[in-house]
Amino acid sequence: MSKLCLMVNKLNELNLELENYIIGLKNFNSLNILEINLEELKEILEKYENKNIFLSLNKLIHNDELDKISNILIELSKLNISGIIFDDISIFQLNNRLKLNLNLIWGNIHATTNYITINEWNKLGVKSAIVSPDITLNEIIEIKNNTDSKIFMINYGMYDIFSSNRNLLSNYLNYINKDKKNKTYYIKNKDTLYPIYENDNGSHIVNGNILNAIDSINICVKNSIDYLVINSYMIDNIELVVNTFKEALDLASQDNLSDEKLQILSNKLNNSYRGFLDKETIYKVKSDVNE
Amino acid sequence: MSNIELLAPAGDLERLKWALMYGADAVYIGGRDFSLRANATNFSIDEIKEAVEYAHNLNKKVYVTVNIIFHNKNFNGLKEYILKLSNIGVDALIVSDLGCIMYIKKICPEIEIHLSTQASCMNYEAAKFYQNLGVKRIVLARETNKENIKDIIEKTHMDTEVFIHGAMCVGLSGRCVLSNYMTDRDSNRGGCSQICRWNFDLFDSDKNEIIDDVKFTMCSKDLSMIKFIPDLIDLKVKSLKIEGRMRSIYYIATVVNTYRRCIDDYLNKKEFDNNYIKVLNRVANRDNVPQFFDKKPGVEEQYYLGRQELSNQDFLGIVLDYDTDKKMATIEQRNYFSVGDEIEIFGPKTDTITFKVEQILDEDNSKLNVARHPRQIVKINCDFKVNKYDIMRVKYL
Repeated sequence: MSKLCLMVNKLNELNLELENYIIGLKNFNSLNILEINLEELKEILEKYENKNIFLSLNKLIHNDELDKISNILIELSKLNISGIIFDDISIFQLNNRLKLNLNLIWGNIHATTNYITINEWNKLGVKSAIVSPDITLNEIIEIKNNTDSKIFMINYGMYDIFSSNRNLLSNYLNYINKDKKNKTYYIKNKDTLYPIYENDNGSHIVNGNILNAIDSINICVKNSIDYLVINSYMIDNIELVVNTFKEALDLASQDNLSDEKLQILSNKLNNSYRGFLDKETIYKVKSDVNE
Repeated sequence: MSNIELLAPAGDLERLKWALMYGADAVYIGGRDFSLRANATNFSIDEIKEAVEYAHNLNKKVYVTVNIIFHNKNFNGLKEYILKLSNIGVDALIVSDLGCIMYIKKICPEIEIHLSTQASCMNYEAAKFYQNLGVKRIVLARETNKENIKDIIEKTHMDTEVFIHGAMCVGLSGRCVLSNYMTDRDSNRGGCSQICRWNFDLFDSDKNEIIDDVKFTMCSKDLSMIKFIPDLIDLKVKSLKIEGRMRSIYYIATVVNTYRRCIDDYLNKKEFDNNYIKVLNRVANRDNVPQFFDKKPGVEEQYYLGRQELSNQDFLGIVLDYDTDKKMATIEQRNYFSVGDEIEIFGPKTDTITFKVEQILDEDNSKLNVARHPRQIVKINCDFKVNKYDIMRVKYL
């Protein structure tokens, strides 16, 4: 049965009527979500003990951070965390070597593009993956239908499309002798403004369009996509989004979401951007001549 | 003596031959599918076969990139392709996708696998994971610094491959899909449209434009590790990799030749030749710096001011023959030159020589003042013995 899952950007979003949340661990996260430290996490787990908290530690890790990440994983293994989202393979290695039994979720969201690789992770004990938003809905469904892994699918919101270890904003502002006054800036391409920000890990650019897959919710439910993920990043009225998705999901789960009703719900969100759900990225610009 | 490998890119058979001729120990190439330079000419299966035979005859190696991030349907045809590559006898496959690695291990367990830099491996725990899967070599992430390289080698004893020269991805490899979202072209399947070199209008958090003569860009200077080749050799890095499967033969010959000489100089306890820096700075018309090796790159490692990529006109011709009696070199022209020009000739076995062009003859031995036609065959005076496939360029040393 499909469930909603919220990528949190403000702490009060934990008060929404949802079961599942994703939060980032400060210094080790590269998703565009709220980042908290271990102490804050412990407080949240205590306060929201009935909620499932998935923690993102999906930055790429250098050697000199391995001791620190080991200690963090040991601490996390003592807490009631529902899962750890990772990209760097050292997290997987340390989880095994230290016998921590943390529930790992493969979260390199630009590489989770096929079921063969997701299944290889499954064989290694990683039983969930955040499937890439860079592929089509058909590909996502094909993945789900060919894996036993739990699938998180980004259904709504803005998501990271670029990470760099460099401080690209600071460097530029330094070059033009201006102070970095804001956390987030924007770069413009055509008519879209793409948020760009820096954190402890470097620079990140976020898709400037808000993905909205609510029109595909019947398909997601029918194919048992496990988690429909909403990211609240820069969303003005996240409550409206969550409630709209909740209503749609409830009806879809009862096989009772008509096209008309879906249209009404979809209109509430007033956003028709579907990213690559209906179109493939271009693989090759030139066609092969000899083969 | 160190057995360190100099690894060069080759976008097609011609480039492969130049790279090997100018001192590469091995080349990496892409097939028509499954490779991250989808828009390079790339190699057909027959061409890969020819490339491998050519390289093996010289006791050199060929690695084939199979380094896209796979979508479901991209696995179609992979089995047949891998079996063909195995039959041809390629020396290794460069792979990034875990699913693809395991797939290859199943159908062709004997073939050597190198982990692509696309996997962004930058710590020894991750390296050990791949080692346990049977991966022979790690192409380290470009963000790996000296201490990290040292640690990975000491703690895994794996073969490591380090980029030493060429263009940089500004984003973490495999974690940038700007190209997908701004041009629809799939960066992780070889279609990258190099958004990081674009200029952008920048806006603050209130969406007010930050006005400045200099536009925001992420554009990075190129990588050059020429000053740190001794460090890399001492660290026991296995392979030194040059980027640029879509580069010209002039670029490949010049860069490979420079690093070959630099490596050999160090191994033979010769002093570092500062001209190497000058040559590398000039060949691509782009500044180059060591990037992450010795410090985190900052403002000095980036390009602003929207600089233009000027076409390099230094490549004047290729030596086809040398007449020792008449002291005349036969040249295939590549760029305009004239009587009176100061030129240089260099080659795999020719130390750079400099002289003035005093005579140009066409194929009928008629005197010319200029060689103006591309691929025109001419003869020029040359008191020094030069060799076939030496390169003639503008004098700048």
